[in-house]
Amino acid sequence: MIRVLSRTAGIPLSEERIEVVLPAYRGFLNNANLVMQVEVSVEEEPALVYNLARGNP
Amino acid sequence: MSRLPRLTRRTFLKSAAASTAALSMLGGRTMTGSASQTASDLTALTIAEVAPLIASRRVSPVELMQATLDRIATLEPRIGAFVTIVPELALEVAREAEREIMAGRYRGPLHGIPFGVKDTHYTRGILTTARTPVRADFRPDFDATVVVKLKEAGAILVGKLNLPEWSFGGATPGTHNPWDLSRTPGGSSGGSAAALAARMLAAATGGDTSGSIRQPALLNGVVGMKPTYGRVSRHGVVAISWTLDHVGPMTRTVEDNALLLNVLAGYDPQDPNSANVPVPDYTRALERGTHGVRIGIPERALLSRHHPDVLRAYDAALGVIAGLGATIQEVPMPASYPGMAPAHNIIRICEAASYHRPFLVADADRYGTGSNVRRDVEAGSLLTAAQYEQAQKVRARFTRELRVLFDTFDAWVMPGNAAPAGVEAPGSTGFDLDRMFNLTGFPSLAVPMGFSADPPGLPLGLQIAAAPFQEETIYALAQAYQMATDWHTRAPQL
Repeated sequence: MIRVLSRTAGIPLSEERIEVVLPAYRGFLNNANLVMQVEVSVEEEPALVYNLARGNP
Repeated sequence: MSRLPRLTRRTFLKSAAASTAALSMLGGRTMTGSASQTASDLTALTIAEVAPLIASRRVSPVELMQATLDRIATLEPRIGAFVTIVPELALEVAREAEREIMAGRYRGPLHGIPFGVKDTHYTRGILTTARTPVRADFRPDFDATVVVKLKEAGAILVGKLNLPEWSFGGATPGTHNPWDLSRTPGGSSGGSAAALAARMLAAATGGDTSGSIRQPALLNGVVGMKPTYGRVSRHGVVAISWTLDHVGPMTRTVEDNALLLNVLAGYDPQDPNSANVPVPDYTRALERGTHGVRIGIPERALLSRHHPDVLRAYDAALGVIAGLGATIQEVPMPASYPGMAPAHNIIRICEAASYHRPFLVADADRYGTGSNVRRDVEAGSLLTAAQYEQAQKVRARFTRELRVLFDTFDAWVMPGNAAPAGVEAPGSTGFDLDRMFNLTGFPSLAVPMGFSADPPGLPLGLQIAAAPFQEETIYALAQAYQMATDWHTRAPQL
């Protein structure tokens, strides 16, 4: 799975790198699972900031 | 033109020598150590103390710069605060500043003040390595906006300050804590904090994605401000995570910090997330006082794993603040607080993976072997857009809830670090209480609040936060606290 994901991400990982990366990836997956458990309403929009009105907020 | 008499370098220097006696009247701290007494006296002065001497031509920018370079030469081998020092350039610019001031063109309180910036800040023609082998030879062709602003205010770049590779981490390899050279100065702005504590500089900048201005500030007994997101431009600063990164001033006193933020703050069209919000004169807030200010503090259970010396100093600090006329009440965390830390982790590493992609594609093998940066950004690149977006939704909810909370009080006060430098506090919330203000973008300041007893003599710090763009509230409270204590006047024995 990691091989596919890394290829999709454009940074294909060798077997050696997968061994190195795996524990960190599991840690982030754990964080992602915790985030998924937080209840957010359907109306909640991601806190991304795009400022298209430069100089005129 | 100035009405002051024109001075030659000799009279400038003569006046400066005479002013040594006046330093004690200004509260100049003496330093023990091998640096010369005169140099120590000058470098021990805060910006607010030395600026009037420069303005009145009692101290030359050249003399101040020479004293600064002498002190750096003496202490840097033991502290290791700098990645790059530019002494010839600094002296050349100091001579220009001297000429300007002698010609009556004094620019303001930063004119002639030496400063350093974290080595993530682009400096035109000067190495900007972010402490990574990947950028070991990188010389930008432009200055970061904050560097431009400091130069325009007349401040003089002395050098680039140390950090962990790519600014990842809470330690700064190669830099030593001036209060105990065997200990870490923290990180990632560890070089900035150590240089200030060692009196090698009075003005520096740092970057803060997860507490990286405030944590080293606290561990070194100095003051660090993470301003509101968008308040200070990030243009020309190496990123970790665009939506969590902040740039801010680091100094030895609250007053100096306000002076520096006066210059650093402001809208920058080159930073897509810069806020076009008027910038007040932050020094005016310093006299505001704290009478009637409503202070929120976290519930005590959240601090149960903090080091006992931290809690002792924290309780004493709250006593001082209450004595200044503020009201203090415990405030529960927002309901979505459990999602705060994981959301921060996901957003930070996903954005870092995106930033690092070109470096991973072209130069992966050049990443440092002594850090986990390559491993972490490779792992972060495996996360999905859905996971990132969910983290941003949790962030939106947490930020909204925290903003509502701030309707009931003016400032939030908490211990800034869970333990002294180099001491573990397993399971503590210290890190979370820092990075919640990165996730929300609310401003937060670190200010000294005492010293540890076991181990002895290590700085401890208080964190003060406020609602967005309420840096004045923070400075008012921090200044009142600082004026009621003397922690900021103490210097390490070097």
